[in-house]
Amino acid sequence: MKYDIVIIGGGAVGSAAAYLMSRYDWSVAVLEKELDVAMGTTGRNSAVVHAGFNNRPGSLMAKLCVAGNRGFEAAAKALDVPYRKTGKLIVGFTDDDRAILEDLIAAGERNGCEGLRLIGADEIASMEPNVPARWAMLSPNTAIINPFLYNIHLAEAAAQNGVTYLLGREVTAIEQTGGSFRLTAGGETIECGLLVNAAGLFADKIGAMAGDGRYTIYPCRGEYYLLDKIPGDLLRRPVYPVPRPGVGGLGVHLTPTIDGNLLIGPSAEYVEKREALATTADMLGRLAAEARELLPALDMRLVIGAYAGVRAKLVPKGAANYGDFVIEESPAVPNLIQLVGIESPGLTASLPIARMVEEMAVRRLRPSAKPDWKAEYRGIERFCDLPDEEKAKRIARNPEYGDIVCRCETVTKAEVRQAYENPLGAHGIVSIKNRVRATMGRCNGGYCFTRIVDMLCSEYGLPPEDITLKHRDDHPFTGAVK
Amino acid sequence: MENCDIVIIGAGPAGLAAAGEAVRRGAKSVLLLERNPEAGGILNQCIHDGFGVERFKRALTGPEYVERFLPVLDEPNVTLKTSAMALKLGPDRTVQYADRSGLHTVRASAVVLATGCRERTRGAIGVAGTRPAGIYTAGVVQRLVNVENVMVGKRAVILGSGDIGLIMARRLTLEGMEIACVLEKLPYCSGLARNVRQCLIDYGIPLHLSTTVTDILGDDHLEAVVASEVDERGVPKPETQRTIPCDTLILSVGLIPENELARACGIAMDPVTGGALVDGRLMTNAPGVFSCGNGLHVHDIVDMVSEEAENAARNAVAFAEGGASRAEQIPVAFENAVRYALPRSVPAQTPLTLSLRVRSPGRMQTVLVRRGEAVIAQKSLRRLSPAEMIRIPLPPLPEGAENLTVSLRQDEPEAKAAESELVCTVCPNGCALLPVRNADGTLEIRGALCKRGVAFGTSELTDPRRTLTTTVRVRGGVKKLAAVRSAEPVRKADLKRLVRGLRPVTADAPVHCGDAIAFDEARIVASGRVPRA
Repeated sequence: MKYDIVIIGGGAVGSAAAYLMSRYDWSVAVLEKELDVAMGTTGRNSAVVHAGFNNRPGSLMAKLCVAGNRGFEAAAKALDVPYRKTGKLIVGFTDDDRAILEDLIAAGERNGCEGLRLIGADEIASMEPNVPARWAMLSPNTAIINPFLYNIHLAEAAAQNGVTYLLGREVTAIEQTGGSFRLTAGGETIECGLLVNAAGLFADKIGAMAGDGRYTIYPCRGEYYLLDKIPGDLLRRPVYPVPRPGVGGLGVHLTPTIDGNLLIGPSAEYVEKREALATTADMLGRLAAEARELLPALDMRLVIGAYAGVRAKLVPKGAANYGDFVIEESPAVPNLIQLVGIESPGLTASLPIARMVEEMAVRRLRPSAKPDWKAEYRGIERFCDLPDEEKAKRIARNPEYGDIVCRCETVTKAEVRQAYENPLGAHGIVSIKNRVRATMGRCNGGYCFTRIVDMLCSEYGLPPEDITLKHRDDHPFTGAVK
Repeated sequence: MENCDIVIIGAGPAGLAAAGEAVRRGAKSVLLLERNPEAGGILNQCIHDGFGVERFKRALTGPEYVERFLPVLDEPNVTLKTSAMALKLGPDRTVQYADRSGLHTVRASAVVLATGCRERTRGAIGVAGTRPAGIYTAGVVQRLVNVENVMVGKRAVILGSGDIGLIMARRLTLEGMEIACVLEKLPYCSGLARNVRQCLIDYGIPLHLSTTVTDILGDDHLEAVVASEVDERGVPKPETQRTIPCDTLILSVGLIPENELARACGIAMDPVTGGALVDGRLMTNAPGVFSCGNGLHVHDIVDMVSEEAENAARNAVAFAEGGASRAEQIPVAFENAVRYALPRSVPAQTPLTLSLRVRSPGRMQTVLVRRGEAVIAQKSLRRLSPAEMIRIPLPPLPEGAENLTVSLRQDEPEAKAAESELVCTVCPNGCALLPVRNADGTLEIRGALCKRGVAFGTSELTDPRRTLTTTVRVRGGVKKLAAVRSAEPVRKADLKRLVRGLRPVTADAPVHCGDAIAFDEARIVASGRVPRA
């Protein structure tokens, strides 16, 4: 197989690049080692569209985060991604904290963030009555999104415009000959003229495989608790503590999700393994304690899950230097575009990063724009969000809308079917979950998991032993009982 | 909008019993909403026996227990909507539900919530580690194995000694899986003594108390769990860590009443039970909305679910007729050793049974219900366990200002239980039996409080028998499997062989409860129905 451009990595950044490049008449393929997109760091974070005040003035992170924030609402609309501009509070408890907040506002303004201001206890109490802080910086432009659907819709929109997604193709070798590349991935050979390295946690390894071994990724794990839907008046917007120097993250914070759940986290801990996705008892205990400082009324009985994500940092533990995004045409290898060290705010910045990639590629290959490119994408319509009369119409049109498969999240069989028959051909149960939320709720799939299994076996003819959750070899079942 | 006298949400054991009682009490129209394609609720996957011992004096399987309640569905004024999910409950007793025919709203004169419960999950108990395939709650495994005909693995660790976990230990063993052990974080077992005997001891499956899972290993599929003993406060002791290889972890760590509809309707909840706060009529603070069964508080015996649901239905019909008792409600308080008592108030002049659970296990204690200083009801128990609900009938009470209080009294200095391998499981007394071989060679059973205990001990030691319960494949039915049982108890030693022998057997739909299954080695009958597809 031969493509003009191959993107390695189908996460938010790789898929944003695929989406933007799908408007031209060249051939583009995305190689993803997992069996679906949004399986890595993209789906394992706080799901926040950052405003950009946290990043060092003058850095690419600052510039692209601010740009990403400005464009996100329109992109979310075009791509049918749940998005809500909630604003966010960074809260402080001491006079020292107030000074840090003032510095943060100054840095944010240098970065081009708008509307940042310091507020006092009274205003905090009116906005977040359950947060006992003395000072806070209000960032009005911070937003929350569904990161799975953002990534999935970018990818499905790209696919709709002709990009080939090759899932389950882990790149194991890259041969570079005369300015073009021959890749070995999942036992196949794929050739391309331009290679985009968007491999996230593995971007250093992929770079080295292609001949540019100048970078090292230092994985830094963040653990989270996921809580059930919280009463709307408990917490309305993300609340973060003032950043503490020397901590490799933004501090344990509380983030309402776009679906009404609450996240606590993340921790920040350098780890050996890049996919160290285990949670630890120690860290989860600390999360609970720190969360209660921000929100004493928090009832930890609402916890319904825990997960971890890993940041792809370019600086090791304790390093004094600032790890910025690397977005460049490799000086070492011709026709290799390197995207390395894309950690937070990578989700926010993904489209501006992709735009830089697009410009580099266009400059080199001079493609023509396709006349029929579709910027818009519509995902699976969510039954539970519809008004009653629309719900009734959906059921009248398709009785499977009246068949509620997932009770916690009110997901219908019609939606599960659309999710299973997704345009990327991703068939694990987690691919259904990430698209329509079935199994994501408080019962952890206790109700819908067996019903989805039945549907896959009875209606799609899958033998039980062939069912997978998220990985090729993670078969949950050994076969039939009898 | 359609109107209906009584709308019952959930057609499991609570809903079915409520429907039956509503009809008997003269309800004009009863609508049962059931999200599954058939009535019966969770009992349809509980193919083991042991249901109905109190109510029917027989150890029925789950589907057989359901079968006894199904005739109510033939009543002309009862409608069952299956595959129908209730989506919204209004304080004005409107119920919105969806099924394949549309989105419907019905206005009820009274609503009975019989929504059952769900399982506590790994997420809720916060076990650290990776999130590989192979981790299930016990009820999910039960459904996969008994209904979906799907096998989950080869070697399992069960965390939590709840009854469903114990039942699944036996079920999976009989289907060829190895159960490495059952771990229980508490210093005592959460399941019924009968299940410990028949599900663990029978198969030599170890139960480790004061032990929990502290880490989960494996990236794609579960590879092992790390187990640690815990101290008195439940904190793991790192020096006791050991790794247990397994491909399946089954959680049986508690049940949570399902009350999303009630909560969204603004009904006041009891943080201890997880169910609605109800008065002596089992009515919530939403007038005309009643709650019962595992949706109100988790029961350990279905017979009591049925009884409670009948009470709720009786009061719901009275409410619907406008003749609801305006009797004064006498509040019920309980002291700390009692985890909860339910209902939280009782109507004056009406006899009623109080349900309660204790906080920790004990022996030789008496539950006292006082009104002021006077003891109005009491029950002495040789053995008390948080796993076993205690029920105390109360006499009709005169009106008056004094509240009821429930307390526990230690009757004798707590003696250490006699060491015995053999605990009688005939009734909740759980007598520790001491078999003695007399000089003449005859066997004597000491320690039993009644003759049934002696008979139990003798049979256990001379010719232990068990009812075989399993499934067979069905051809042409609406279900993949039919629940079956042995017509009479079979030798314990034969169970595994018989389950193996039944594996190739296929029954043809329709299958009716009680149908003989063609099998040479034992008399096997269907214990549930499978209509033709």
